[in-house]
Amino acid sequence: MSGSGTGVNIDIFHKLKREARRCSPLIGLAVFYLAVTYLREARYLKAYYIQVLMFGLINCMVTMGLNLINGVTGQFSIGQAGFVAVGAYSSAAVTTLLFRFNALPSIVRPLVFLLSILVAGIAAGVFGYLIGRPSLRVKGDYLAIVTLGFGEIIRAIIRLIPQVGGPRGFSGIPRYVNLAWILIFFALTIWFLRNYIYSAYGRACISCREDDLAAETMGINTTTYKVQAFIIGAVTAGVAGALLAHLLGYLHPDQFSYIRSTDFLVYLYAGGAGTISGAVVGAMALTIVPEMLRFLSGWRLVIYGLVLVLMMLYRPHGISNGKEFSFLVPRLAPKKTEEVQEG
Amino acid sequence: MTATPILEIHNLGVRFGGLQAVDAFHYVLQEGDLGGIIGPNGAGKTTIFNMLTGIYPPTTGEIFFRGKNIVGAPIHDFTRYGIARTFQNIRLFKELSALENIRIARHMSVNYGLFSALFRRPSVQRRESELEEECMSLLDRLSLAQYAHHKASSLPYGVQRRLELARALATSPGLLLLDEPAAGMNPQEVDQLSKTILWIRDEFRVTILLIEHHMQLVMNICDHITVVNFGKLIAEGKPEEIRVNAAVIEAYLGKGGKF
Ligand SMILES: Nc1ncnc2c1ncn2[C@@H]1O[C@H](COP(=O)(O)OP(=O)(O)O)[C@@H](O)[C@H]1O
Ligand SMILES: [Mg+2]
Repeated sequence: MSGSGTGVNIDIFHKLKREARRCSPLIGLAVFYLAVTYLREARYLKAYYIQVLMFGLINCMVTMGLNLINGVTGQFSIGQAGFVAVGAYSSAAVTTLLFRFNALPSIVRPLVFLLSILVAGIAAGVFGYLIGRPSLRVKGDYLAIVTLGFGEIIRAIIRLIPQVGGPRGFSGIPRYVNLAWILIFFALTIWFLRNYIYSAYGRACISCREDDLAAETMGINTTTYKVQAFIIGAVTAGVAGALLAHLLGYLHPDQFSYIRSTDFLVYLYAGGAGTISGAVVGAMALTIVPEMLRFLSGWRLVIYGLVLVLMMLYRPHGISNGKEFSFLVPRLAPKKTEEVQEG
Repeated sequence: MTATPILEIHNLGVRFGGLQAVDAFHYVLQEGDLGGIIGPNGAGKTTIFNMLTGIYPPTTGEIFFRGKNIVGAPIHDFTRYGIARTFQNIRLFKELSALENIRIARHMSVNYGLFSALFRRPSVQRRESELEEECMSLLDRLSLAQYAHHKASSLPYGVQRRLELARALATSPGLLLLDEPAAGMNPQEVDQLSKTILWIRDEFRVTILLIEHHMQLVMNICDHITVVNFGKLIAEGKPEEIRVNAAVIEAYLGKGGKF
């Protein structure tokens, strides 16, 4: 009796430990949020730093989406800013044109905002499909050109729509987003992408990257997964775009030029393509570092460029060096893994 | 006659520009058989395999797998129907571990949907645990367990070949196509490979069709042998018939040659 009782206790203990480990990233994020909020209240942190942090987190989301397309599935897309634009403009259209957000009672605002994010995700996803589908016929450099053209077309189209400000830019968007919103969507992005990448779906994407003919002979419909990666990568960028729109309160087509797309590529490859960790570390570091170098004024971009060149020379797999933070890798049921290790 | 053959090829042909790489190829393989295709370099053997796996669309002819014409299906459907292969130049997922290679090959056995995956529902967790066991057990059966966590490209050549074989088996095929499995092996390794192939046929209950240059291997283990040259079938028969077939000897050794 007592023996089995102890067994049960140990079981519960292990279960608790596992749950704690599972939740620890969330707890970490909450602690981080509280710490930042406290430091701001206590005026240790300037609002400017928090602004940089929020841009950094949004860039992380966009880069994680790009990572799925380029890093995991091995496509070469350089039109990621186009998807951000689709998300930003469509969500802003929902809150600004469809509803008059500021006139809404404050209880329904979060719902309308969530709706706008949903619209942003769907719109970007549709564009992800539209661009992903035909671009399967082209590979490598050619695909890059197609996606580049796509990004520029989006920008050109936005300029032609007077309702969203056309070439003058879209102003009057409610500045509704704060750090909490961004952290929540940042966490959700990581969670969904991690679940996807470390599942059979993600493995299929990886097999497309490694050798798509061999993948086909494993019964994997590589077309499906390449398109799926494009769609999910675009949705991620679209949601990030929605946050961006409601953080800035103002959008201009030139914010989403191919130069912006190149930034995301640089974040990804500097951080380490293929892993979520790489995307996050790269986007965060390269958002913050140039801000810290502002005191160098004109020399800032020279130093920034130099850092990139040196890093690619001496650390070609990026800052993360191809490694995933272990808490991002889902664990299998522990008992089974033990059995396996014996075998 | 008897039951439907697992594989039946009618008048198969393919042209690459001016080159008729395979021409009017007929072939029948019964369930459980071990067939061999031999022929000089450039005879069109690999091209036949490429058509049997959907990689090249043939210009003429039909391929019946278990009685069904599968010409024109996408490559992954050939695998879904039950045809698996290895490549003459090994095509493993080089940067991934042996275990990952096998896991990817078990893709078709995954039964959870995209939304379950995105939310990592318990069913995903369960299936992934089972999958890991299945993959490890397969690696173990092919004496590859010790390499499970090694990067494929870091493995010795012979082990890579074995891993590619394991990966093909992981798709649970009915027909296994082996393209020059003995390439680059020494006589001892070839001997071991012969045993392995026979063992695989019985253990995994697969029909095997193999391409080989290595005469000894083909003569020892194949039930029947087909000889191709310049894309055409030039002889067919039991190993002992092929050994003395004049056309075969000529194709391999020129007029007046001898095995
Ligand atoms: N994709 C292709 N395009 C053009 N020619 C090809 C192609 N694949 C194979 N060939 C040609 O077809 C012939 C048969 O090749 P192959 O089937 O690889 O011979 P083998 O019997 O040595 O396996 C060769 O002359 C080869 O050059
Ligand atoms: Mg060949």
